[in-house]
Amino acid sequence: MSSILTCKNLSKSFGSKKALDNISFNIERGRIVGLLGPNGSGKSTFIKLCNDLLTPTSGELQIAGNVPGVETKKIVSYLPERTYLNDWMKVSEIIQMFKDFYQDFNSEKAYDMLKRLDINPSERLKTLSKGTKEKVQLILVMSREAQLYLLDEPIGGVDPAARDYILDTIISNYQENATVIISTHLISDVEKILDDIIFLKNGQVVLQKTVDDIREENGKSVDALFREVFKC
Amino acid sequence: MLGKLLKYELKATGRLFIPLYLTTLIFAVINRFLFPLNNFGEKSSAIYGIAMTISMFIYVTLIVGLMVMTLIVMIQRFYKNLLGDEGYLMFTLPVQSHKHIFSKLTVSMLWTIVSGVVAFFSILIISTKAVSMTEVFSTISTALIQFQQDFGISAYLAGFEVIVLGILSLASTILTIYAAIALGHLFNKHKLLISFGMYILLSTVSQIITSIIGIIFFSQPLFSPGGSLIPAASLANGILLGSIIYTAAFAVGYFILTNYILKRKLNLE
Repeated sequence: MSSILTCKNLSKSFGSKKALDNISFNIERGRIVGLLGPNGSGKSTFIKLCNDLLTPTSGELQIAGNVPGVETKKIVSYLPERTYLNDWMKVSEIIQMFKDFYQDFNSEKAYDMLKRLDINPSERLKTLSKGTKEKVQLILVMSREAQLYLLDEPIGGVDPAARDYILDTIISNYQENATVIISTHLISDVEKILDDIIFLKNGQVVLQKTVDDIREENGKSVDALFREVFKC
Repeated sequence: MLGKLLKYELKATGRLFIPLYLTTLIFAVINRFLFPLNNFGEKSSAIYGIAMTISMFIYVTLIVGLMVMTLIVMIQRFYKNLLGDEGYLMFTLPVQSHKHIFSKLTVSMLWTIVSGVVAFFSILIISTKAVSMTEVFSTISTALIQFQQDFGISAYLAGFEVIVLGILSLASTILTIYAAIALGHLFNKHKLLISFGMYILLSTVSQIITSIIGIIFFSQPLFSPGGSLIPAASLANGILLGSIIYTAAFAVGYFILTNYILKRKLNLE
């Protein structure tokens, strides 16, 4: 099967600082991939490059055979690490907006999840708490039937009880052929749903493996391996 | 997709402008009937005077507020919706960046024009003693005929050119603001302050270029190569057409600059 995402010698610098330094890897379809690394390792930079929010300094990046742009935005569903909701719409209006702009958006799914999370669709975004806003964003992102989901710190701001629900939402809402990339440093929480991991350190890939291989070859959990690799 | 962007841009801004327009017009009508300007002398008791002053003050505040808000919304929609946190949503919609600029520009121009029209009508409501509209139009058409006689140039053509020039100048001004904000965004600190500085820089540069071109143009002798005086009609026409091309060039330049920054140099926080 063809890769959903390939990058070759990809670098991104901000001034003299290298945020990503010559990284190369492929990500296959149908996988849940953990993009793991400490703060400042280049996780968000990579995800922003995939979303055309940044332009690479050098190297190549392709999603389903296209460089990031209008075509890839149609098939990539992105959850940024901050809230991007405006303060004047109602929940139902932003759902309508997603439906207007993304052909793969399934509003039924969105309303269903809102109901389960007890969020009132006629509520204004402005009046929602920070945690609820994050849930609304996750609902918007997961209600798309996308080919690639890019989730930047999806569980960072919510309480542990909501984390489990969010992870359940992620695994129960993507189709077989779709790929999910989750960037996080809260490894023990996401470990159980991951198929593959990519460790990033100082802008470089230090390890790319399947979780099964890690358990077999290293005889330890991803969390334990992470602590070993990134020991201070 | 452009249509959808325009729709949401209108929704986001209309909710601010429409109530203000209605308030302004309603207040103008109230002023018109409670305190007609022309019979001020008749019932000039102190209380009447104070009430009228307060009412006029509120009205003037509304008009000033209308102008200020048009400018602030123009800046804020670009800065906050595209370059702030909301940019994470806007720039991951499957839409090219130039369509974002175009939709913001179109809607900003629309509100600037409507704000002007609303202010103009509210002044008409307050100040005129039931001037009939036919009178206004007949005055305008007399002026146009006079213009045609004096300059020998078709008033309709000149009027059309003036309108085109006005619209282009508006677009160019707004695009200068966008370009300044986009340039300011390239810096990591003091973005708004630098944007303000960039605006002053950009407008100064364009002023200097305008002056140089003006000096070169008007230092030319007003004679055609054959030695006869260039007729006023073709001179006026030439100046208008030249200004149109010149303003359009600036607008296009700022549009390209802004689009380049949004597309290649975007760096959301």
